[in-house]
Amino acid sequence: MFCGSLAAKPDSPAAPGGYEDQVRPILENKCFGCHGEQKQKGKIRLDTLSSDMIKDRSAETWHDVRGVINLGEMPPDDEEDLTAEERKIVLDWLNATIEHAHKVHQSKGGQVVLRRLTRDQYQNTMRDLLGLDINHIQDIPQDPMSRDGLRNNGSSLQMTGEQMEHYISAARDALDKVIITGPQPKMFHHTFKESSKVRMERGEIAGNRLGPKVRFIGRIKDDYPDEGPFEIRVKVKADLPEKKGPIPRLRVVVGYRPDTLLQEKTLAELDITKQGMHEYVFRGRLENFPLPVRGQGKYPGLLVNVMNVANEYAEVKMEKRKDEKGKDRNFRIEDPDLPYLVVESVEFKGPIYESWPPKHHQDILIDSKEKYPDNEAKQVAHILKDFLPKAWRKEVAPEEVEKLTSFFTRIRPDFPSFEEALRETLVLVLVSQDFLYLMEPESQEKRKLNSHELAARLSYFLWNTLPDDWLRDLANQNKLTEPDALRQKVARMVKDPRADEFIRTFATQWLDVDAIDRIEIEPNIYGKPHPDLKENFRNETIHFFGEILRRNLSAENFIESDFQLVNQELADHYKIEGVYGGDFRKVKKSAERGGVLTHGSVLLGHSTGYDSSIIKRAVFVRKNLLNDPPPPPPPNVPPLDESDPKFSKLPIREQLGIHRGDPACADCHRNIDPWGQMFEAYGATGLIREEIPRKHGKKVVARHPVDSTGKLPDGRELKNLDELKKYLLTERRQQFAQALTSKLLAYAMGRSLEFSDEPLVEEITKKSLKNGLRLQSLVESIVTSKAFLTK
Amino acid sequence: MNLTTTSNRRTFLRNGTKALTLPFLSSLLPSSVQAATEKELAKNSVRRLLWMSMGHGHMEKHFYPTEGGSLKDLALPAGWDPMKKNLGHVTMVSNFTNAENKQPHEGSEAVLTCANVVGFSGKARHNSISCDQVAAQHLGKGTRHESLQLNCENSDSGNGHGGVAMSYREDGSPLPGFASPLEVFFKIFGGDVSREEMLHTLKQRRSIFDILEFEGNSTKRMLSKDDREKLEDYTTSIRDIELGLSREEEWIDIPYPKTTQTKPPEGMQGEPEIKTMFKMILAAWQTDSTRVVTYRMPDAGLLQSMGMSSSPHTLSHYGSNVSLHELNLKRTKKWMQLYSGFIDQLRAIKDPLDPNGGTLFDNSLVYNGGGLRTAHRNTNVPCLLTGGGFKGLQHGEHRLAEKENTPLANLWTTMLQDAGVKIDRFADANATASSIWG
Repeated sequence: MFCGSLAAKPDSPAAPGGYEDQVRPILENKCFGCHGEQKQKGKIRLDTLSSDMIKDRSAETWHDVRGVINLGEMPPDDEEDLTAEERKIVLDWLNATIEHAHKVHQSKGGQVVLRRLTRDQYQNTMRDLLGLDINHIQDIPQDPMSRDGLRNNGSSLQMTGEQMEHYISAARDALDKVIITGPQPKMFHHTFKESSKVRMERGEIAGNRLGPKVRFIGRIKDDYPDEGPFEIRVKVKADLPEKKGPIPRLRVVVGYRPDTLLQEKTLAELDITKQGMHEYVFRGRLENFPLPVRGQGKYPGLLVNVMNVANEYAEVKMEKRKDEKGKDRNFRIEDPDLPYLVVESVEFKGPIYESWPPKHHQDILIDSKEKYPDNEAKQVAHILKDFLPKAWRKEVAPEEVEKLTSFFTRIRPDFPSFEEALRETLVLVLVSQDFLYLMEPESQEKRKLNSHELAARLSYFLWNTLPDDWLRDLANQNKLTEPDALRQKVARMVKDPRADEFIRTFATQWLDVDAIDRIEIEPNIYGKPHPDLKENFRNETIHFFGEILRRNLSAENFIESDFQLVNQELADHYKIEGVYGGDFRKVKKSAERGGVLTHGSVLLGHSTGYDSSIIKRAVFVRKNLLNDPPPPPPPNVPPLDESDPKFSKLPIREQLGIHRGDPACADCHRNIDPWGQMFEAYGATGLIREEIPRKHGKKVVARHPVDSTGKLPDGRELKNLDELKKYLLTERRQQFAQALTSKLLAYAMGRSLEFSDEPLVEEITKKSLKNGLRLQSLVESIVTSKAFLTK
Repeated sequence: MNLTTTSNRRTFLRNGTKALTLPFLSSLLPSSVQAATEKELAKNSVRRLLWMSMGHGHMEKHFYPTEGGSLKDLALPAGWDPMKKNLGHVTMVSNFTNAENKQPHEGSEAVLTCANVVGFSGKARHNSISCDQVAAQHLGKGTRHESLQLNCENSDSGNGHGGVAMSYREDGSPLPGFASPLEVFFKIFGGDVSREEMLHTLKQRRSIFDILEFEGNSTKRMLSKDDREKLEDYTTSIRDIELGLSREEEWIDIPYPKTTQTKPPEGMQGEPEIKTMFKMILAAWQTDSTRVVTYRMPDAGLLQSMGMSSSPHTLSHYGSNVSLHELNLKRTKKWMQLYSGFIDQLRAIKDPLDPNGGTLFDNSLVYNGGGLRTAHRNTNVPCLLTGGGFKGLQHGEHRLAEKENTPLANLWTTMLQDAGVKIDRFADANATASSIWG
């Protein structure tokens, strides 16, 4: 079947092989005896069970039937079993028809279901609307993942009483900070020339000359603020070597040290490429950092630390020498090949407010006091007229302003000050439906979105946040409807740094980058992994997606590319030479890389941590790249029996062969396993390997040569991953293009695709194939499609 | 503490600070509670219900006895070692299966609802009311809280449980719960806040909901059917908070009970957190703050506090990995040790509402188990029972239901009935479980 179930028409039998002429005769022969007219064992009767799972809602029972056949529980031992051929016919029909029925039952008639803001969208929206860059989502639970692997699906996004309480307290906490009362808080200002000599743990020392395991420590014992924006200025001298070589990387962290362990968070990291002395300025908000409890802990005070993390984990060599008193002591030997930074000074200032009341306060209260002195209700109405359309992303009716103003008037006596009652009124704005949901009221039939709804869809698609002034102005002037104009806007939005949010979110969900968090690397086989390896794998894939999108390159690059994106640490891991610095950059790919199938995120995420996982990698290709996921494993599947040491020794292929010998497993696995075999040359950490270790318990008990060959279900024999990539780009090109289009469209609209979307997906895919699968163009096609523009 | 600004007041009501000091004594129960319960006392002791779940279950060889009989006589697997002294006070029952649970990964999401969470039609959420909430509707009228849900942190979700909750409403949405012992402490003992303060805050908190409700109705008309359904989530969430506020108002004149217990610290994790949560459950029962409790125990947190870096999910894929087997055994033993400690306390604490001077143990029905047996198997789930509230049940045995895959709902029906809930059958129950010991 082509391209998963999308290819199946709702009105035609979804499956290969019809029920009446192929499936029913088998059931009649082997099943109806106990589950038919005469007997209904287990209260199951199959001869009258409708094969039309859509009209008659019989899918649940068929689902159970599939389960027992899959497990080999039915027919029971004392009855004649299904032949392999019969099992295949019955299961193929069941798999396809159940999936089809599921899709139809889910159908919402092609309309976007009301979407609550996702957790990330809520964070970004609060930050951008209020101008307050703090963590607003601490207590808000992670959003559920829908069946298509996305977390912005309107049907799945719930609301509960608990969550509502969190929205209310998040809004209150934020507005307490945004709308201020009282005088400007005192600013603290400290300049450090010499590092404090706090004794450090884990072989670190304090000092001004920064190499591996040295940090400059600025310690503010008591005179520091507890909240608000701050600024750190670091003056450092870099000694860069003449020839191309390692460069220093500056890291600034803020935190404290209650006892032996440091509590700290990175404020910024920066490759230093400028020779000589320069000043670097960083800003942040104290709320985002771990802060000491005043007067407590072994080492009280706020720490502002500066490090050079170019070779953070390099081993420091020591030598024994006599010190000035003639005592034997260990001295560090400086590695002359490493880059160093010398700190001249570190300055801390905070809280910094360029004006008082601060900008975020003034942006909300605007000129209300001057315009309506002595009339609080009018002030509030004036404020709401400005604030509501931004917050609610729509044109706001006078009644809505009135209603909220009267709320203010009603609660005003309960609050000691104007500002506090105003805060409470704005809390209401921030927990109302218009804020928490993307509201698109319906009309009788499908209608075009109005320009503000469209602006919101656009900005939540490409920026994951609310429309900014530019987009709102365009919406006000109705300049978003023209397809050409719309395409231009998309191009501009994609270039904007805010599109990083789209790139990160979509790439992570589409390519299941978070899979790496579920895997532990086995140190007995791979050695102790670099502490940042997973983070680098994650960033590689995200930056790679960003490169393809922003340069409007072909999506073919996801399968095979002549470039890759690495930083120094990742280049070291992949054994690529000549890459210096922590920033990711584009380099020519090395022989065994190219495309996401060779990314560490995919290879590690779909491994067992000590070996490749043929099955997981196969499922990745089918599900994530081709949108043809194999049916989920039935419950109560026994895992591979690894308790037998003889079994553990076998090559994984032979183990799988045994697995396939079990009829409970055979039917699915013959269509899965071959897809993963071409990856066998890549171990769990993504590196090329010569042989495959097998282990039993902790011990490696056997080693086998790498075998990357495989025969796909369609009979095609492939020798290695390069051949699989070529095969995907030629034979499966259309399927891949359609899969990517479907995923992007589902993400853009925040809903699962349905049968009624099929023509649209085909149309966009066709167009995209014609212009070489350029990614940004594909995004433009989606944004200008009818589905995106209508409710 | 400065209580002049609203934000402070809010923070205070949410968090409170002061540890109150007076001993636990039944005579110190709020007088109204005493009055309300006097009638009951004349008749019968009250019954208290608790369901706890630890998630991924245990390895066969560490936990599951291979045959029925007296626990003292059976050759019990090693995981039972810490339970030795309490073998006479627990019952293990086998052959119960939550037939509707089709999820190999999130076995405990439906453990108390016996609903098919995967479902088939278009809804993302497919749960239904859990048995503890049925109990709460019947047993929760006279207590400050109808029921208490002890949940785990977000970071502990998944791991064989599903979400962070065991308790679900009629519409299938999870009930809010408390993830830290401190929050539970304040729910039982309150903060040191005056009546005026509380009323004032309640009024402020309530005002927001009046208008939201009003607004909800006006926008509804303009939305499509699906969207309206979606917004019902929103309306329900508000109504829930409102109901909570109303109950708080009703109870505002009834003073919180007093305690010698010190306030648990913030940020507790793993083993100390679980022990403190157990203390809170006992305190809730001693003060009759509620009679129905669920506790979704933090498995991942426990492992961390035991110094294990593996996740519960990794542990469940033990295969032939000997080191994972060892870790599994360690975990099983730890759970059993904690559980045995909890039984000790149940047996040691006098039930203030028992006219015959019995203990909390005598009057409670406690289930400890979950939706997964071992690895991803969801048949024949682990079931440990304790407490004297099970009618006709003599503890100290491993009892097997006659048929394999007997509906787990049978057990819930028995627990509900024995606790005095007038219910015929819960969910897909086809009988009661008491037949296996009656």
